[in-house]
Amino acid sequence: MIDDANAPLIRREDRDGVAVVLLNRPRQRNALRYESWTELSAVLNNVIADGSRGVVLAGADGFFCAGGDLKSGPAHGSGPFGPAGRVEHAQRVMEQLKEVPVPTIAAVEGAAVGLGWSLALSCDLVVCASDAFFAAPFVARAVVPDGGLAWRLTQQLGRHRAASLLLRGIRLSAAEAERLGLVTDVVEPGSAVDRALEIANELAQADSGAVEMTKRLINSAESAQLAAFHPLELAMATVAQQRSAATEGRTAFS
Amino acid sequence: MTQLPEGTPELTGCNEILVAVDGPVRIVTLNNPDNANAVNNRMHTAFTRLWTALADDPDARAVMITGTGDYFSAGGNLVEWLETHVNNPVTRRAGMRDARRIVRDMIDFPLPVVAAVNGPAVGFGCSIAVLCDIVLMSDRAYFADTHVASGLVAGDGGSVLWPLLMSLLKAKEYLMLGERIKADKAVELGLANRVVPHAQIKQEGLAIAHRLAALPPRAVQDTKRTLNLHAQRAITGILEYGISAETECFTTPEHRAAIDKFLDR
Repeated sequence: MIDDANAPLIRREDRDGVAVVLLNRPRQRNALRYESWTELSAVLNNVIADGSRGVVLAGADGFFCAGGDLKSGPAHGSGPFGPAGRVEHAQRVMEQLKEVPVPTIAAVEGAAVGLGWSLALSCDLVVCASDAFFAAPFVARAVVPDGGLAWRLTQQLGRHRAASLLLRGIRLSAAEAERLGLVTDVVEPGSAVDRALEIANELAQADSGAVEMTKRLINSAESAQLAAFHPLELAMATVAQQRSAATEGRTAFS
Repeated sequence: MTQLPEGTPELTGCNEILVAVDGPVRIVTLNNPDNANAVNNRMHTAFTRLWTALADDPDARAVMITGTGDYFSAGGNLVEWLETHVNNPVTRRAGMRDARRIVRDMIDFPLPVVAAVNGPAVGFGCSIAVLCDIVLMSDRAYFADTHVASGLVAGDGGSVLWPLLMSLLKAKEYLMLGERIKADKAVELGLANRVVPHAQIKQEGLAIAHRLAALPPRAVQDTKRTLNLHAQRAITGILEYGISAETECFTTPEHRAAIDKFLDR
């Protein structure tokens, strides 16, 4: 069995010039620690530096991601920004992911929950298995959605459906997610990575300059609102974490 | 001039950008003295990692940035430029991507940053200085944004931020004509906070950095963040356009002529 303490939190396997980036804490359902974001950031830098033609982002062992790691919690360091240090770190790395000049495709098996969902939505395309689900159960844990999820869901679904998902934390099925435009391709369980690789290979034939510039246009369409939203999200996350209710909520669910 | 603590390339992995630790203050020194601290491609890439690395330092509370010797930074390195920005579209795109990231990273950087502009700050050097939070200028220093004269759009520099600091008309004047802006004029325009006698510039910068470092960290950092939301909103869309427009200029005969002229010197 893999010794988690020594295994990298993010693993990279290249296939035909496409970087398959795997969240690699399978026994914790690939929950994201602070260090996961640091490693992801480094991997993304390398992906750009060595000229990969695309990125497929997936979870090890057939499960995408359970969200932020509840055991280690969102705090990082003892400084004034400690309580939500991971939130800001995650924001930055997800922005970095959006800036990657080649196509990025999330391949979701199992589920993408909370911050894991935010991460999947930061990719250009989202492929998911037909039995996968999405959920944002932040409020049940007495914290607030992060990774831009409140903004994105409200933007995409309208205020009331977003509120239903965010306040009640209910699960969204793959079919429903596709219908709402939160998933681009639904595939047989177990084949999400393969399908994502197919798409990445198809896109690798396109002119890289046109791809990069088109991605910039897409990013620009939302950058103004996100620029104002991110700091607010961070402030709310800090307040939420400082409330004792947050600690109790976390304990109850971990 | 009082000696500053010795910097090392440990954090940046780049001998030309040194970082020194002085209690809670980190001193960043542009260190390419044979070329007036001009920013070569290696330094440019290191800049894309510098701010994140400094933000991850839990003991840091403020940063000062300055240059080795009597220059702040002469801007880009045109010798390398020909190879990476003019002749090769792939590395050109990568360079512009980095340029975009550096501007954003500086605006997002949580700690207060003091620029001790110890000499000429031109082009990229000028952009970096003005993105800091408090800008001190040696009485021998000047700013100049020379993009236009060399055939480029001032995409990653003045045109993005200057209109927030000075009148739009003045920004146009200095960006289009590319004239030098001496220290006292820079203060008058709003591009710098104050002029300091040359011999004291680094010491004065360090003193202010320590003052900032001693303030309640949360209050000072969130105040910076709040104020920089203005900058963030101001650059949104504009930086993207400016850099795209600048990217298109590298292959023009005018830019080529400007490089040839420089190389002939």
